Amino acid sequence: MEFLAFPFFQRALAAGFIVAVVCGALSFFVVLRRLAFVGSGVSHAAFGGVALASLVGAPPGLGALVAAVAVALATATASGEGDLTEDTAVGVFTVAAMAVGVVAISFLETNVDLFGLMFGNILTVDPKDLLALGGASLLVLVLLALYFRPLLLASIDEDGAFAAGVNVARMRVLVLVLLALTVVVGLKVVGILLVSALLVLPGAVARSLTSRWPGFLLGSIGAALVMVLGGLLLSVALDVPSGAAIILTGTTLFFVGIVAGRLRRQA
Amino acid sequence: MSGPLVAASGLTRIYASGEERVVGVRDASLTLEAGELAVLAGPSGSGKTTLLNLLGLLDRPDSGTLALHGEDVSSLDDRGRARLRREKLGFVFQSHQLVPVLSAEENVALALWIRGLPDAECRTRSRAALASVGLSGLEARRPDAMSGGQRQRVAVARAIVGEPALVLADEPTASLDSETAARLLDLFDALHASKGITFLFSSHDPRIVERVPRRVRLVDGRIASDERNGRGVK
Repeated sequence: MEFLAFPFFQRALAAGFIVAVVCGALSFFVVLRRLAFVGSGVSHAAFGGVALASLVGAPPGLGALVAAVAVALATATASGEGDLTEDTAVGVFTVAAMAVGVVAISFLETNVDLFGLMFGNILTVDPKDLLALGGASLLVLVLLALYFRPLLLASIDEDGAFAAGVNVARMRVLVLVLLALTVVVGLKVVGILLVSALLVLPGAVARSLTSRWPGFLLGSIGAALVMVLGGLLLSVALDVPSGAAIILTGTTLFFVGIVAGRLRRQA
Repeated sequence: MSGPLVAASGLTRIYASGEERVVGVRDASLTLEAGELAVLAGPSGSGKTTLLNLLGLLDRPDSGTLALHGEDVSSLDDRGRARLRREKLGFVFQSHQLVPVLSAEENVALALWIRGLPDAECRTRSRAALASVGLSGLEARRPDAMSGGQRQRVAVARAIVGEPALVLADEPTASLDSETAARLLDLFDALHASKGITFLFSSHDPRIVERVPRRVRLVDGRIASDERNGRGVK
C-alpha cells in the first residue's frame, strides 16, 4: 500500500472522491429521468469541443464544457418545442459535434492524446486539474441543492409538477446543463467514452436496491464512491487502466445490486 | 381581492391537428362563487377537460378573458401562472397521478414540500389532510397497496393540503365503481360543507351529475346550460 504515500495517488483519490459524489448525485436524476442516452450523447459531444479548442489553442476542458453545454441546451430547446424527443435531438446534435471534432483534428498539426481523451487517466490529475474539478463540482452540487425539490418533483411527475407551479421547462434545461457540467468533470477521470457510465451505473445500482428516494440518492452516491475509489485501488493493485477498472467495478456492483434486490423482494 | 372566485368570459381554445382545426372550447363564459360545488357535465369530447385546463391555468385560451378573485390572469406570464397554480389551485387528475415510489403521506407532502416549507410542517399538515379524507392509519402505505378509491382520496388530500381557493378535478370518478364514486362525491360534499372548499369537477356520469347543486353542461365545446339547484344561472 506504499502507493498511498505518492502525491499523484493522493490527488487521484481526491479527484475520485469529488467525481464520485457529483456523478452519484446526478446519476440519481439521470436514472429517474431516463437520460442515460442523453448523458452518453453529451459526453461524446465534448469530443468535438476538445478538438476545436485544440485547433484554436484554447484549453481543451473549456472546449469540452462549451460543446457539452451547447448540445445540452440545443437538446432542451429542440425537445421543449415538442417536435423532437430528447433522445432524437441529442442523437442529431451529438454526431454533428463529433463530426466537427474529426474535421478539426484533420487540420491539427500536433498529436492529440485521443486515448487519454476517450478513456481518461485519473492518475495524471495535476493540482490545477483538481482545482478546476473541485470548482465545477461545487457549482453542480450547489445548483442541485438549490433546486433539489422542484427538480425531484419534475423528474418523477412532470405533469403534476407543472400543475403544482413548477417551471418544468426550466428544470429540463437545468438538468441537462448539470449533466453537461458533470460530463466535463468526469472527463479527466474516465474519459469521454466511459463518463456516461459514471452517470448511469451508480443510480442503476441504487435503484435496484431501493425505490425510496432518500435511500436511492444516498445509495447512488455510495455506489459511485465504491465504484471510483474501489476501481482506482484495483487498477493500481492489478496494473490495469484506471478508467476501465472503475467501470468494471461499477458493472460488478450493478449485477450484485440486481441479485441483492431480487433476494430482498423474495424474502 | 374582490369579485367572484372565477370569472371566465368568451374562452375559446382551438387545437390544430394537421390540416384540421379541432374546437376544444368555444365562447365559454362561466362565473363561480367561492364555496360552490360545481360539475362540468357532458359526454367525452364535449370540452370538459379543455375548460378545466383553461380555468386551472394549465393551458392558454386563443381568445377570451379569465379572472380569479377579480384579478385578470389572461395576460400573466408563465411565472405568474405557475405562482397562482401553486398558491391558489389544487388539482385531482383522472388517473390520480400519485408517485408510486412514495408513501401516501409523502405524496400529499409533495405539494407543500415544493413550496419550501419545513419537513415537520409538511408532515403535520399532510397527516391532517389524510385524516380529513378518512385515511388515518394509511400514511405509510404506497399507492400500489391501496384500492382505487383510497388512491383517489390521497389525490384529494394532496389537492387540498395547500388550502387552495379552488380545487379542479378532471373526471375523478371515471376509474371508480359506482359505489366508490358515490363515496368520493360524499367526500367532496363533506369537505365543501366543513371547510368551505370550492370544487369544480368534470363528469360524464348522470348519477354523479344529478347530485351536484351547480351543473354546467357542455356540448361540442359550448356551454349548453348552466343551472344552480335546478334554476338557470345568468
